[in-house]
Amino acid sequence: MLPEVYFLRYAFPCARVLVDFRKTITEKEYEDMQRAVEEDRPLSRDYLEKIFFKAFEGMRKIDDDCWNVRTIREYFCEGHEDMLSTDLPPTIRRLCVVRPGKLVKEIKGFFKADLQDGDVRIVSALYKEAKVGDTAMVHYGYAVERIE
Amino acid sequence: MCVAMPGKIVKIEEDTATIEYPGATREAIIIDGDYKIGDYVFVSSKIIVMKIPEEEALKSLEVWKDVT
Repeated sequence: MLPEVYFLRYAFPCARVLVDFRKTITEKEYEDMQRAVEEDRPLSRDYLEKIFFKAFEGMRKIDDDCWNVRTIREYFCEGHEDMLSTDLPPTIRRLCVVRPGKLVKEIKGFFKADLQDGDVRIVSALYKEAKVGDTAMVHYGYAVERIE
Repeated sequence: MCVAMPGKIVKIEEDTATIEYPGATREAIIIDGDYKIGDYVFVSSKIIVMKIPEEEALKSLEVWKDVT
């Protein structure tokens, strides 16, 4: 998979914050980004590095040559937690940390994901052929990719 | 620093909830679960992801205010 496509799947769950809070992207850009995720369409590296500059700061700490699937995965699954405000209440922290969850039920095209410890969410799958029984990496309200 | 923002349900009509944020109101679909007016929730892609306890929601809105 193209690293641009892979990166956007992991980063897209944070994009709402960029519209509402940082105000660095417009509603229209957000919608285009959503379509890009759904279509597996790569956005330019320059654009992604500008919009998600915090993630790239973290990724470059792992590997200066960060445009590869391994570094992207390591950052989001391990390093992303460090970007979160330490003042955040626990439920909200858990939402923003990327971790595995099991897709236990399909409802109207979405999935109920069980992340254990009573953390049950409704998520949208960002990968094709998602199905009940999958264990997926979950970021906020999205199932990003299936894991073994 | 990154902060996701919860909203408060102010209206429910069938499966559509109206959710109030500081300075904005949005609609989201209830896919599953029991929700009522006054609940604090997180939304993504126009669906309600989950409920969060009121005290945590209020605290996070304060954090949000501080970093604005």
